[in-house]
Amino acid sequence: MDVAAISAVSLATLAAMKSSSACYCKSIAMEIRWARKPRSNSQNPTRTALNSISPVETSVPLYISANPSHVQPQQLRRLFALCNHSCHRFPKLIQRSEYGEAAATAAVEDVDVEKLGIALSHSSVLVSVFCKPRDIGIRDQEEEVKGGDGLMGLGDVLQRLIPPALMISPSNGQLVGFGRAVSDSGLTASIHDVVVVPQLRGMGIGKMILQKITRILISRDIYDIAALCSANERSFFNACGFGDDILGSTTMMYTRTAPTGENAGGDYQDHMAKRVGRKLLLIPPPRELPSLKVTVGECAED
Amino acid sequence: MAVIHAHPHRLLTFPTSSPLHRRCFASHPSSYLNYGLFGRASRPRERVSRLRSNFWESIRTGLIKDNNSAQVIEPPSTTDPEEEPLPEEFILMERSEPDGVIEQIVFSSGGDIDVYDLEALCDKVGWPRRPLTKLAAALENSYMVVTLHSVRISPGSEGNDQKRLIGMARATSDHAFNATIWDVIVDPSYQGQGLGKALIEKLIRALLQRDIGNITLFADSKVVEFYQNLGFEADPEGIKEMACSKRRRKWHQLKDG
Repeated sequence: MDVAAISAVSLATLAAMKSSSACYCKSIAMEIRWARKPRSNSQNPTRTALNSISPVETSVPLYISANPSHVQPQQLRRLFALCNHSCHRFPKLIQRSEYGEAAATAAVEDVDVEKLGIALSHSSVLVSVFCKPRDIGIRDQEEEVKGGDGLMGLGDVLQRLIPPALMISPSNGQLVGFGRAVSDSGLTASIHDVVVVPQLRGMGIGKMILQKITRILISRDIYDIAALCSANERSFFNACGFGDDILGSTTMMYTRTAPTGENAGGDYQDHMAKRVGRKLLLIPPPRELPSLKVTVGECAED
Repeated sequence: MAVIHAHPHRLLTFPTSSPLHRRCFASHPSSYLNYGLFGRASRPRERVSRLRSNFWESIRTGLIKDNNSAQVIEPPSTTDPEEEPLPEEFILMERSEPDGVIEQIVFSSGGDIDVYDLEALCDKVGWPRRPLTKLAAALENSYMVVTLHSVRISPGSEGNDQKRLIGMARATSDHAFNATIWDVIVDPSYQGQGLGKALIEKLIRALLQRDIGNITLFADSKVVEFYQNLGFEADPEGIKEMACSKRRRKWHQLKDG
């Protein structure tokens, strides 16, 4: 067994021994968890770049990590594409050519890898979830060649015998879930980009990710944890224990757009407007406040 | 202007209209809390302090004596997208008083702020107290902190300027996609002059120039209109903020305690 497998064993053992209290997550950045699906039907085939879709197992071993070095921007970009997720709140929609004209739903454009790297490096908490490639139906090249005649080779037998936990690590696993939080390390935090691949939804993985993020933040004494969510994400956050803001604050976003003429987008110089997703946001020009050479008759100080 | 009740970390400004007497603070470098204790310095602080000391030096030696018009001394903003936005400091407004005292409203994005001054300002607007260490950490780790100070220059006095914090706003960000504006505060005696607007616009400008497009804030109902006038939309496309329930319990504890 290689080093990664050995460390996974010790982690798994440790995980089995410890109880699931808050301090457990603080001391262990990585853990092996199992996700269970209520039924073993296969999911609807989704638009993915995977080689094939196979029925999801009822119980899936997962490797969940809060170690920032386990997630690579390229890998994350692929995950976002699988989930049709954009980092922009008002994303630009494109037609993905590989799905042909039949793909009626528009996809969001791919996220900029460099910006993603910057965002990750400035996020206080990063949680990533991995599973074995076969658990979401990815077959490797060797299996393709052997064909699906039902016979198992020695490699397959070994894989079935050795505890699956040993086989997953960030280096050989498939990134299937993610979430991050941005914080000022003192008072507030906001959660962004919580995603799970479509084939593994409904198994509590998203909830696992969110719980890990909140536990880590609370262990750092940050209690004001917010998550921006669109209408279709609301039920997920509700189910995870998030509710409306207790102070009744109104969520507001800057959406002032630059007026667009006939040749939209080409008219504005960089200092006047900025293209963000599908919006062209107006940059407020520097204002000079009126100079006041007024004599101010005020009460004496102190 | 009615306003109010602002909750800390959330967007609130312009509190009560009850008369509050001003307290003047003398500015002295030693009164600044040492942020070096609280984790990494993400900005080139040496550059910031050099910029600041030059500016204040020039004031003390009386170079800026002209009180005819507001001098807007704005250093050129950086166009290099890889660098942090250069800290700026300039006089937003200037007025002279009958006894010859000049009052300048100085804008700064250097983030050098005395937490004790900030705490006093928060007291003025009626916000509940927050632990100073947490406040200092939050300021240190914010993407940008913009402040307004009132500087009163007495004629003929050398170095006896009275500097007082009268406004602040800060934004947290992941430096790439998302930013949230928190803690917008303006001294009640200085409201109604466009100062809050200047603070917010400066933050938006700095964020958009860096391509950070999701700019969010959470506004108390009384100030929603103020932010709408600045280009913010409430619940755009159904996007709302949800808060972790664990926070509610802890917050209630803090409020009662």
